[in-house]
Amino acid sequence: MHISEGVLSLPVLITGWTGTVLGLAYSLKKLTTDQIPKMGILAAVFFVASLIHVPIGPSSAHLLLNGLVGLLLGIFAIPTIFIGLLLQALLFQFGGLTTLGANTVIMSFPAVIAGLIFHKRQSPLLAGILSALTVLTSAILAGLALGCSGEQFIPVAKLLVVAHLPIAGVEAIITYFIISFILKTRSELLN
Amino acid sequence: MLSVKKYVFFSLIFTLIGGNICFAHRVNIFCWSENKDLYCEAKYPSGEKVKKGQVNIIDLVTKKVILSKTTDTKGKVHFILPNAVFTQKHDLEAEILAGMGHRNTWKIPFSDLQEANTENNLKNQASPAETTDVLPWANEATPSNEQPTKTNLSEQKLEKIIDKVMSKKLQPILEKLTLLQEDKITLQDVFAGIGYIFGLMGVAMYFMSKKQS
Repeated sequence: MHISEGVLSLPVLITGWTGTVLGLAYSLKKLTTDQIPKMGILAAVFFVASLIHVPIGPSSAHLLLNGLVGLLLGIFAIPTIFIGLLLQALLFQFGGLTTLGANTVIMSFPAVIAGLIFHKRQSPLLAGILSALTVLTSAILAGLALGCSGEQFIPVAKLLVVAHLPIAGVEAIITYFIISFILKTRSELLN
Repeated sequence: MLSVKKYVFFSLIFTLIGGNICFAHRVNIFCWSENKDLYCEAKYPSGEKVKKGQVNIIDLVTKKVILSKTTDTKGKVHFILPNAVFTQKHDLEAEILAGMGHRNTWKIPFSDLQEANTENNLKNQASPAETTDVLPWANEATPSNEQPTKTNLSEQKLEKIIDKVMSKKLQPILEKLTLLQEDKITLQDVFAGIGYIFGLMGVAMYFMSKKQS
């Protein structure tokens, strides 16, 4: 779900960057030292997750794990995903630098919302469901960004959601096991 | 119960990593030309072909799409360049739109097209009298028992046959040479990324600790 250079229109690019800058400014203002190691580890997980892809029919989709990042970091998912996407753009040529703002909004904003919901009631099952919903919401947001850039929103969003359904399922299972493991061993990580 | 959960979790991780680790998800396009033929191939870095992806050939000066086709099931597409391309002498660009926001381009400088087309032009410029001439050795005194099919082969015909055979033989080599230009993701890239992340983490912690002290 990395939108490439030259695909999005200028208003979408500007909106994406505005959202990202505001999100980064707010989250970095709230940043505390104890969050940094967690952010580092999850940025590395997010960065590598994009290399694991699942073949789906004629196309393929890769793991995102943005839901997991959001559940564990909340608002700090924005700088974490931003760094992950920046390095993916620079080292793997996934997405691009101009689309980095839009890609950050697409991936991190649903993750933050999932984190806020999860913070109220922490259970592995809810974590799995939220993780899947994060992937699907990101797919809809990507469809919306493409729809605002000239492509037809409904067919693109449908294609993106269908392509990411298996990914959402896989991520829900992964997140369920990770969160249940964390709750049993190191529940303070979720505070 | 816990051991079963652990087993399922680790099986899932190993299946994903062991079976399907590859480099998604950008799209690549490669083009090579031969005379007026332009061949393009689009694929993902994992090697998977882009099926039914739209390939546009764009004139880089006028920014107009001059040709457009969709890739076949092997991710390939073939164009026949119009004569205008060779008269205008503009650089071209092949653009692949693989859907879901995936796009990439491949620049085709006019010099590459010219090079591929020079041989063809030279053949066309040759005078008809010259081209229809019988080969020099065919005019020499030949023994009466020689086969007529061997002696009557014209230069033009011979060139065409050689050209056809050479094209057939060189086509896969050209394709392989072009595909070799792909920027593959290496393990060094992956470790470099993780290194950058931990480096940034260190810098952030340094400044945070300084602020606190």
